[in-house]
Amino acid sequence: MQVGITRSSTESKRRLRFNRQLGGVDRASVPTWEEIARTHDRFLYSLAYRLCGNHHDTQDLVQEVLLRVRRGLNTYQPGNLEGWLSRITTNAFLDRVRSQKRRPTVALPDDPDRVIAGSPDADAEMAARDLPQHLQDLLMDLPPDYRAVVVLKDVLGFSYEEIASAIDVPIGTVRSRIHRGRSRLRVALTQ
Amino acid sequence: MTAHFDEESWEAEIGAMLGGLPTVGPPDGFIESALDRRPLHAGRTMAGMAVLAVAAVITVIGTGAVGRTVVTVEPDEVADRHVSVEASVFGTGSSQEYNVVDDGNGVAASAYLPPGFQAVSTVEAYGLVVSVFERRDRKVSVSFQPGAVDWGALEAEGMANVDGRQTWFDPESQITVLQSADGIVTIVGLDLDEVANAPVSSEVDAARSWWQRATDTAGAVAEQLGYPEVGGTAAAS
Repeated sequence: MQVGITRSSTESKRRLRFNRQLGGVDRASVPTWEEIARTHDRFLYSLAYRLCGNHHDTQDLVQEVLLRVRRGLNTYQPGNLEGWLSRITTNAFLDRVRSQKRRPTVALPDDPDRVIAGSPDADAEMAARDLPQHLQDLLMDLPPDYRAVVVLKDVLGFSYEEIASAIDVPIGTVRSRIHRGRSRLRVALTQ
Repeated sequence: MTAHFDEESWEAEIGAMLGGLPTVGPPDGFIESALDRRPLHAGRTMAGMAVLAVAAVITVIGTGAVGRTVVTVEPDEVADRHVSVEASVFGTGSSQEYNVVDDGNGVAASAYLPPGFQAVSTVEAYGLVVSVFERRDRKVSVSFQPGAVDWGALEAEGMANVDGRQTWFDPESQITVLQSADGIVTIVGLDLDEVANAPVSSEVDAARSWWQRATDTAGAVAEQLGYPEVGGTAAAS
């Protein structure tokens, strides 16, 4: 078999893709990764924490995200920076989950006292104060694929279309994962 | 802590609860530490050192420091290796355990892939460095080894020419064998056309030669992990 992939045809494709990649972008308007790290540190950290559930894994994830940001800045199209960062963070998180599947580890909660079951007499004020941690714990009980889309939709307020684009899955899959994720949270919250 | 939800609006209520979660900021000094690219944990340091070993291998191949041992590439072995490594990496039934040299953070071999593939893991298998990538339900492995392909041992009907380079491709098993100046790259899971166009879409300058891109890739791995001196070390070996 002789496959005739000629230089001329591949050169044409190269030019097309190269032009598409750089078309109309004012590179001077693109922030540096240091600027992004400093101006969006809280955004990145908060999203990563909602996905990871503990500070140790969150810090590892944010560091990985910053490296990906640095690597990807040359192809970044100025626009929705937080959307771009969310896409990188979510995909980095899901990549880590997949790579850890064969070496499962159980992360310790940051404050073990907070996950000990409370007294049945705990008052409403206590319940309200603990709600964020309780919700975070329930998020961590969701499968990572469900957790990622629920966080993007409900914590960050992304649209279904934005989520589908960010994690590269069909919009119907996004809808069903969000519905199932919320449904599991509902069951857990009403028990 | 028990909640009650309206049957009509329970999804919106849960969404509102999650939307009310407070933001969580990083601890003092974390971002500066990350900007310095200092590994935070011992495990990451070890992973970084392991990835540097991969980078060094790729660079040595590119610089011609390894002798041109003629290697017979057996497509059946390549296919078996791919299946075994993939099953091991994804935990889907392989009894084999391979030494993981990069848990998915590296960029080794990405210069040979179309856009969208994410590195999952790089392992040592059968004396080769094998990187596994994933995009949706597609899985691709890229193996590196020093030496020169024994083209005569491969079936003649698989011979191809990509950009003037001798290449071998089997459409049934989607195995591609490439030869650089001194190294062999074996890719499983892509069509030849995808391989031929992959460097275009990589972050590496497509105008540079194969071994220059390999060197760039190694340098990128080192840069990610904050060890810029590695490229020079490998080149001098």
